[in-house]
Amino acid sequence: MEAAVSVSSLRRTYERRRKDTVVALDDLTLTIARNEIHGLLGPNGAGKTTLVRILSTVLLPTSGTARVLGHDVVAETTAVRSLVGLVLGGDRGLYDRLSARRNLLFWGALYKLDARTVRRRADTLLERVGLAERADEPVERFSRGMRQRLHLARGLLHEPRVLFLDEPTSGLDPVAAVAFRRLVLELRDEGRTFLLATHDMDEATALCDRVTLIDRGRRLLTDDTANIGRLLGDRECVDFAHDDPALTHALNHALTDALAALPEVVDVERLDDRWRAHTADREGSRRVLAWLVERDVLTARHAQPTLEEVYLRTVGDRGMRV
Amino acid sequence: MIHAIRIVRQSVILGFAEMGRVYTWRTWTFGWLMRLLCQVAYYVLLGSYLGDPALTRYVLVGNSVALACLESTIVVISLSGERAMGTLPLLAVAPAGHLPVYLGRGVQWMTTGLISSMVAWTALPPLLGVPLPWPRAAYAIPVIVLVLLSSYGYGCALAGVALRLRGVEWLVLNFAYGIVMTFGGTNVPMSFWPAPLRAVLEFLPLVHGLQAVRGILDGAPTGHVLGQVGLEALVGAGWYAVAWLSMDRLVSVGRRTGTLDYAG
Repeated sequence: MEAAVSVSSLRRTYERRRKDTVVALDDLTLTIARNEIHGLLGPNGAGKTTLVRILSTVLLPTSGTARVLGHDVVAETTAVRSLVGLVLGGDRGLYDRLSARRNLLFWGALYKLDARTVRRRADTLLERVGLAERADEPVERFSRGMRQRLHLARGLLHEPRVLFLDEPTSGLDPVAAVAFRRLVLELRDEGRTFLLATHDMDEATALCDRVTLIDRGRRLLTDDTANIGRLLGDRECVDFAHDDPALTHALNHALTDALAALPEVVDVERLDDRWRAHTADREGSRRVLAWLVERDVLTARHAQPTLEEVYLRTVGDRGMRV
Repeated sequence: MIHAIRIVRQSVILGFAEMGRVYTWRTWTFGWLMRLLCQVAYYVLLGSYLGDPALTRYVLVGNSVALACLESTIVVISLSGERAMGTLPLLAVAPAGHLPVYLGRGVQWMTTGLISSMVAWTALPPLLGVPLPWPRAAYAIPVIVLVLLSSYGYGCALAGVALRLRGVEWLVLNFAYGIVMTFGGTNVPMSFWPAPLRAVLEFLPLVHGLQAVRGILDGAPTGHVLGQVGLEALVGAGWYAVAWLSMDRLVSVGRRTGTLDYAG
């Protein structure tokens, strides 16, 4: 079966006024399977938005190819546009003076939907995203979360098979973000494919089947979200803390020093709210867990590096630089 | 075609909704309309002060009809708002195409332009003691509608410029309208300007429509009036064509250069 999105040696550069060239995407190759939620992670300026813009035909690539459901985004823009939905994050992209329903009717006309279909779909989508009761209020009165749900409804109006979400939950409160993610998972279960550009690790972990890390326009890695911890050298970890969180900080050094001295332990590090012992293998982790329980440290668990840790170690020392 | 009509209709609804952000009917009537009527009255009173009845009527007619042009060109502001709202790239990649949207986005300004112009046309002459020859003055009303339409095309074409250069929409609007107001035969006859300049001015909206209106009021031959009406329609069509090409190019260049922003 053809991939939902297929990107090959994609490059995009921008010319600046002083004649210098900025490389936004550099030889990027990526494949997204149908019915997959694929996370695109990277710091600001990494090229996430550029890729989304190219795939949604807002921007032309400098070189390379990109196909959506087999259609070239440059040569077959009309076909691509009817197959994809673009969901923006933030306050922009909606008409504030219009109601939610009127916004959908407007965009429905631009997607060549007949009046009856767009009205029916608008009602269904507004119900689905939880805006039915506020459907006739001007969008300018909406909260950030409500706007975001309306963005998604707009993106779904023409029933696209592939959706590009660009920072869809930026600025949302945790409850709204969780509701938004639940909705995305429901839509995936209906057979849609998602490319989610974000730098929210929790979001990527919660939603994505696979993730791609990019930086300075280059792909650093692509892997299953569940297994991404393996990428840090297949290291095993045991996380532990004192039963009383307030005393975690006070876990005595004798204990950690003793732990570090065990042959199974590679090193012991202090995290924000816990300690972490890195072990050579799974058997080592098992022994460390037993060792900790014998010493009354009962809050301990076998762990793997999280996506956030992989991200931080991969993107690394980038800091605030873009 | 039916899709284009539906898009224009939705755009008109959007335009009127946005107009509500700027005006209530009270603030429009007692603020904006009064300001426009005062503008016309100012020039008429200047003519009266000079003691020349022909000049007085000349500026009354010119400035009343020019209101139609002024308001229609405000479409520049409405269209420029698409970039500020982040909707421009979404319009650009919509399967139906973005161009029909522009035909409807400023219709509210054509409506207010028609009302302003009609109020000036009917109320000011008796108030200022410069009566127009009725019922001939009524025959000029369709020509004023034509001026509204041709000026709207002019405004759409200029919006193509305003959308390329951020933050210049008010400059573009005032500059564009200022040129028409100054050189378009509103207060100063076209014959006053040097021939090379006159040749360029032929391409402005309002110019031929205004000459048709003056011809109707003066009882000019029908052929002359219809000729000027035809030229105004031609000029308007030309501006629509420029607008079409300009907007289309805005998107094609924007896709190439990355200037169709939707992000911050």
